[in-house]
Amino acid sequence: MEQKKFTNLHEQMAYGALLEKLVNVSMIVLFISFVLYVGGFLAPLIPIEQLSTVWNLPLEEFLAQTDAPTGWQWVNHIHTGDYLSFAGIAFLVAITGICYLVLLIGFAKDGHKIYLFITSAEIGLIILAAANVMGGSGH
Amino acid sequence: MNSSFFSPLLWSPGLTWAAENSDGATAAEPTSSLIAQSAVKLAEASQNLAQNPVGHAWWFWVILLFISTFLIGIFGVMAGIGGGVLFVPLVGSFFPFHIDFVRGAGLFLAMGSSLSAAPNLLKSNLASVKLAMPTVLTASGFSIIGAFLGLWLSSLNPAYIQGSLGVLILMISAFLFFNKSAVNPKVNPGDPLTLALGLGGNYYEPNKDIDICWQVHHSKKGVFIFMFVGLLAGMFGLGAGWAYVAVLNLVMGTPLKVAVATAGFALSVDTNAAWIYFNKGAVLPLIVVPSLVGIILGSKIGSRLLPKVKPELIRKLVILVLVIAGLRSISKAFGV
Repeated sequence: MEQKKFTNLHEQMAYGALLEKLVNVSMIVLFISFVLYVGGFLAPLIPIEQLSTVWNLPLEEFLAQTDAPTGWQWVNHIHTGDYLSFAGIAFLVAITGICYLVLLIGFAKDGHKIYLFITSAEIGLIILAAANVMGGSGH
Repeated sequence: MNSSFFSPLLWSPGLTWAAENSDGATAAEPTSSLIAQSAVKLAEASQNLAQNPVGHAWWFWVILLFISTFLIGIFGVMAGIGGGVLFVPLVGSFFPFHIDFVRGAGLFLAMGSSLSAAPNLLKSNLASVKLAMPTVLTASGFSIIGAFLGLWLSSLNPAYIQGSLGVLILMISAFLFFNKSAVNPKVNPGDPLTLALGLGGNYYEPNKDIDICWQVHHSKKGVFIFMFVGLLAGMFGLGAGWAYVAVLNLVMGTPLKVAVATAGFALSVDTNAAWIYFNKGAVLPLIVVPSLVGIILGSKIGSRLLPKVKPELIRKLVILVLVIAGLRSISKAFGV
């Protein structure tokens, strides 16, 4: 059978361009928030000196000793140095979801039904994982 | 403070040299030689740390993390295996952090190193969104299950995870050592899933000045394998970089260049297990941020050095480091 010729999706160029911008923004956010944290400009919820005595503990024990927030509770502590850095990390993980939304729109416009389904399914999984609906609090 | 702990800092001249020459046309030999020396230093530093891993101020570990992940970023990209598979066993074995936090950080690293490389890979048409999407959907779905399984096992006894991670790392090392990639594998067109998803594409080959069209085969088998890969990736925080290239190239017949590039992109998409660790509280910014910045900077340099180095040499050095880290992980599980 002769090999069928395929071409790349044109959506991948838009994805690449958006991804580059978002990664750059997230790096700036991460860097600034981390400097504010370790530089002592914003007081952390868990003091760094204390953190270095408990970072060798299993997760459950760590949470019990520090009373660190789980799930999306960190949003309540965003004014603290350590959890402002969490915001930078959360933004970095969220980049894929944002880029997938761009793909979703592109596939919907182009009528790529299979890829529309795959993109929707992946966005569904991302929301499921990010929303913490499966895991409980961890405490 | 033991001065030998600062030995990683001595790598900087080589890295500066590499960074300064990353845009220029340089011969493969000097670059490969510098990278080889850096890899040996990485292994030596890891052994030093194993002898006295505690008793330092927090900033010492943060700086050391940054330097280590910077090098992991360079090697991960050049060896085409992603950063997570190097980070988790090395940092889990030689740094004082609990394996739960290391695995959490490992998933962010696996993602972060590819996030920095992905835009260029997509724009150059080497990475294929079409090929990545079905494989990522499978792997990321199962990585959620793996993440829960890993955290549950670790809550029973961290040694279960540490020991099985060591065994897995040794198996991956053996797999990487014996795996023989094919540059342009021969495919049997007509596989129904491949046709339905249109799993193929084209890229420009500068060495031959031609556009190369490609397509894959055995897509069903490939997608099935990615279920297992995703499970392990989520369970151990390794990311799926160690398996992506091999499955795309050896099982699905993707041209090696496209397989490496698509793997680089796909890892940036697979974020679900990272969300699980994030929500469970197994993410410490003090570990994740310096590691991420280090690996992203390292990956940028690694992707620029890629055309100038001998991939086989890098691959063998990375395998050596993995074997050391795997053995250390097993010994740590037994409390040695």
